[in-house]
Order: sequence, then C-alpha cells, then structure tokens
Amino acid sequence: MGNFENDAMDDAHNIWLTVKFEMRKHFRRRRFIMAVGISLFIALIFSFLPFMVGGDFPDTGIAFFNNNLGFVGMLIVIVAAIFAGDVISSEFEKKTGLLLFPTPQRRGTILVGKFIAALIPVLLSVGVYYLITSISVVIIYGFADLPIEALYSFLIALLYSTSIVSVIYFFSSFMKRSITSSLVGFFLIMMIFPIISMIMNAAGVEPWFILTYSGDLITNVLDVTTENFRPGGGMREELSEPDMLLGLIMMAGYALAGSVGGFVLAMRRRME
Amino acid sequence: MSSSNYPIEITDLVKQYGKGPKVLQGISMKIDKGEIVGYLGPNGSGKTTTIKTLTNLIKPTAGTVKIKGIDVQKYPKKALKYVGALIEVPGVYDYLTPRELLTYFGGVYGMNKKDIEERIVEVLKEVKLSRSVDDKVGSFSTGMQRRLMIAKAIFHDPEILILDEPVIGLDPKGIKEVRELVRRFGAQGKSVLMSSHLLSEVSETCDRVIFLNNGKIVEDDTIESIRDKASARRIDVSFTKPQNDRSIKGIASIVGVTRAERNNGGASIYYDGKPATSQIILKEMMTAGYPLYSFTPGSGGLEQFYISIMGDERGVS
Repeated sequence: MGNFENDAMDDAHNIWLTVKFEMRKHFRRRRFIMAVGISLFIALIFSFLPFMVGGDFPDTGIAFFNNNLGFVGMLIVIVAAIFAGDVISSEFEKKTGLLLFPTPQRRGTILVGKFIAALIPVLLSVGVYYLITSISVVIIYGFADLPIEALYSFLIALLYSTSIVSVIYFFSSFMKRSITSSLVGFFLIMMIFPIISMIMNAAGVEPWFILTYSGDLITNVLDVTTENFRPGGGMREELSEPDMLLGLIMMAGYALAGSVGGFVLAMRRRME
Repeated sequence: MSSSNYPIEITDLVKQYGKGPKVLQGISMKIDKGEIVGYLGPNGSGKTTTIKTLTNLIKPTAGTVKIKGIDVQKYPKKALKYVGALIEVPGVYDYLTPRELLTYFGGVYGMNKKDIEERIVEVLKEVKLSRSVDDKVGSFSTGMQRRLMIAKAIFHDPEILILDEPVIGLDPKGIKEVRELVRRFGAQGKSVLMSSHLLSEVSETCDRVIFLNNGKIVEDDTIESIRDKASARRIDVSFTKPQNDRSIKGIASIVGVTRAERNNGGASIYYDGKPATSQIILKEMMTAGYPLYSFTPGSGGLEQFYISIMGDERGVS
C-alpha cells in the first residue's frame, strides 16, 4: 500500500477508536440508555395509552403511524441536544482536550468520530421509536396494514436527525459551555425556526429554507391530513407544505453545512 | 523534515495573541537525548505556551518547533508519536476507569490489545494506582488523578516526556515518586522537558535548567554551572558594629551593586559576578568607611540566582 492508503487506513482506524471511546462514554454516563428509554416510553405511550383509557385507535395503520410521529421531531431534537450539545465544547470547557489532542492522530479524525458517535444514539432512538410503532401497527391492525410509506418516513426522519445533530454540533464547535450549545441549538430548532416559519406563512411566503418546515415531510409522506402537531416541532399553523425534493435538499444542506461548518471551526479552535 | 537529531528543537519561537504583547519573544532551545531539562520561570512567563506549541495545541506566530527533526506544526501526527505529555491540569473523564482511559490512548498510539493490557498493569503499578484500575476516575483524589495523568503520559513508553508542572496536587511522597520516575526516564536515554515554578523541584531532578522570564530565555545551563554562577554573584559581608538601613541603602548605591539587603547583622550584596566588580565594591566600601569584619564573595544559592536574573517581583517557591 502507498502512503496515502496507509494514512487513510490509519485515519479510519482512529475514527473507529474515537467512535468506540465516545460510545463507551455515552454508556457510562447512562445517556444512551436514557435516550433509548425515552424513545421506548414515548412510543409505547402513543401506542397503548388510548387503549388503556378506553379510547379508540385510528381507523388505519397509516393514520396510527401519523398520530405517533407527531412527537418524533421533538424526540430527535431532545436526543440530539443531549448527545451533540457537548460533543466538542466539553473538551475545551472541562479541559479534557489537554489529554485528547496532543496525541498522534489528526484532530479531524477525532472530530469525525465524535460526530458519528453523537449521531448513532439519535438514529437508534428514532429507530426504536419507529420499531415500536411498527410493532404496534402489526399488533393492532395486522401486518398487511403496515404502510410502505412508514419506511419512507423513517428514512426522512434519519436524514432530519442528521441535519439536527449537525446544527447542534456546529454550535458545540465554537461555544465555550456545553449547556449553552445544547440550549441554543434546542431553542433555535424548537422555537426560532417555528416562529419564523409561522410569520412567513402568515405573510403568504413559503418558509422553504427553514429546517423544521422540511421536517414536516416526516408525516407528509404518509399523506394523512389530520395531524395537529408538526413533527419538526411546534403547532401546525402553515398553509403551505414542503416540496419533497426541496425539503430533502434542505435537510441535506443543513446536515452538510452544520457538520462541515462545525468541523472547520473546531479544527481552528485552540486550547489557549 | 530536517536531519536534526535533537529530540526537541525550538527555533526563534514567537507567540502573540492578537495584538497583545508577545508571550514568547523568539526563544530557541535544543534538548539532547537523555537530558532532563527543567523549564523554570514564574507564572505567566510563557512556559505552558511553549509546551502547548510543542504539542500542537496552539500555533506559533513565528518560529519552528521540531520533535526528532519533525516539524510539529506540519506533521503533528508523526511528531507526537514520540511524545508523552502532561499539560497543565487536564480534565478527566469522571465516569471512566483508568483501564478504559488507558485502553483508548493505547489504541491511539498503535498498541495492540495484549500490549495495552500488560502496560496498564505496569504503569498503574508505577504510579501506585494498581488497586484502582477499575474504579471511576471521578472518585479519585486530586493526587490520584494527577498520577493517572502521568500514567497516561508514559503509557506508550515515549522517547520524549513533556511535563508541565507535574507535581501540582501531589503530596511529598508523590513528589518524590515523580522525581524518581523522571530520573529513571533520563537514565533510559529518554529526554524530559519539565516545566515548573518550583526551583527546588527542578534543581533536585534536572541536569539542565532553562530560565524563562517575560517570554525570553534569560539563562540556559547545567545545574552545576548555575550553582557556580549563583555562588559567584553574591558577596556576604559582616560588620564590627550593626549598620542601619541608611548604610545598607548606601551599599546598594555603589557602582556594580545590583541589590543589597540586610542579612543576620551583615549584608548580602548582589553583583554581576565579575572579580573586577567585587574589587570595586570592596574598595568603595572601605573608602566610605564601612566597619567591615568580613567580605566573602562566592556565596549564595539557586534562589538568589533566580532572584538576581528574574527580579524579586516575580514569584517563585
């Protein structure tokens, strides 16, 4: 193998080491269990609370899915804030970077590994949420009523999760305190974006560039029009609906801009 | 890359934060194989900045920093392979155990699983943490955490050890153990750069001392030479009758005297260490009528030397 191949293999190995190390930290801090537990709990509440209080389930599996996914956007943001909020800032805030950075590995490999390790629990939480909902549909309606659109929704939710993690990762790359980057990311996505979206809708302009607006695709793809909550977060208020292709492009754009922007800022950040 | 064989080579290093004053003002040093070098200076003199530049935590404004001839800024990954570093007081991952922490760093340094397991036993024994291998680091005392950080620095058996104030937080026994560990490192032909503001620490452990003040190297020599210089820069005098403060101030005003202070009924006089200056001082004192009983050039210790080159307004212990 040439030098380039050796370097690439070495970098890939270092990324893997960082992912393993970060995942171990997640487990040790019981964050991982907490995130999956939240997903499990919420999915079960949505699935079985109506039954437990003697209410009715929606008529179809797809409508059931649609109801349950009303919370998935918020779940993504909460879990992303937990895992991505301190991913970089904590190394500077707690000075653990003094141990981590003066080692024979590119800082870039550490940053990539950290990003992946922050993303994995979010994707797994979303996976657990969809799995429980799918199992519920099979139990309540039968396998035949499990809609293929749920798979499309799941894939969109994974892309949306990546974009949310990227945005919070970006804040973590330059903010001094972990709690600040988590809160700023959380409020931007849960409050500022929906407010802008609402104002623009009220003004008759489609907020196509707002990430949470694109997040509505998670339920829009199910093609059911009864939901009251936006999966991206906040109340449904807009008249317009995001275009599928444009929405996907926007999510990918946020994911790319957030992760690359965060990466560049973290590469430049010095332990001074 | 350069053909230089020095484990550590710093050339004309300058560091300036924004438009502020220069923290490092063009320092240069070479550290040879097997040398244990103390990097001594008061707080804020630029020691940690130098070390952070050496370990690629900050970028220099100008100058080069090389580890075994490899430019640290250009090839950090290659250069830092040879280095074990303990910088400032790093944070610890409270919720991990020493085994988990060292396993990760062992992997980063390219060690295999078997070596990592063996080395964990060795280094934790070395820093007296064997019994805490699976305890959470958050439950450790400050001294135990410091010893773990030292274990991390030496874990991959590096050729070069860079220690920034390594004995902070350690009790006298821990300090002694770190001293022995550093000496063992030197005896194995490895190089050590150890920053400290503790003069006693450096003089007990190191072969050579570099004194840093206000971002400039003000002295760089072996401990023996510095002891010689230290003794050569002070004259102890005693008088047949006690002298008042005004008389002592009068001594301080003699040409060639840098400082004079009262000392057990006599005085300590600091000067440039040259015999000619000592002669002038003696002559001036005789002329001025000081009731001299004794005049002894060549006394004094490292502390006096430190003060004479740093100025007594900068703290040192």
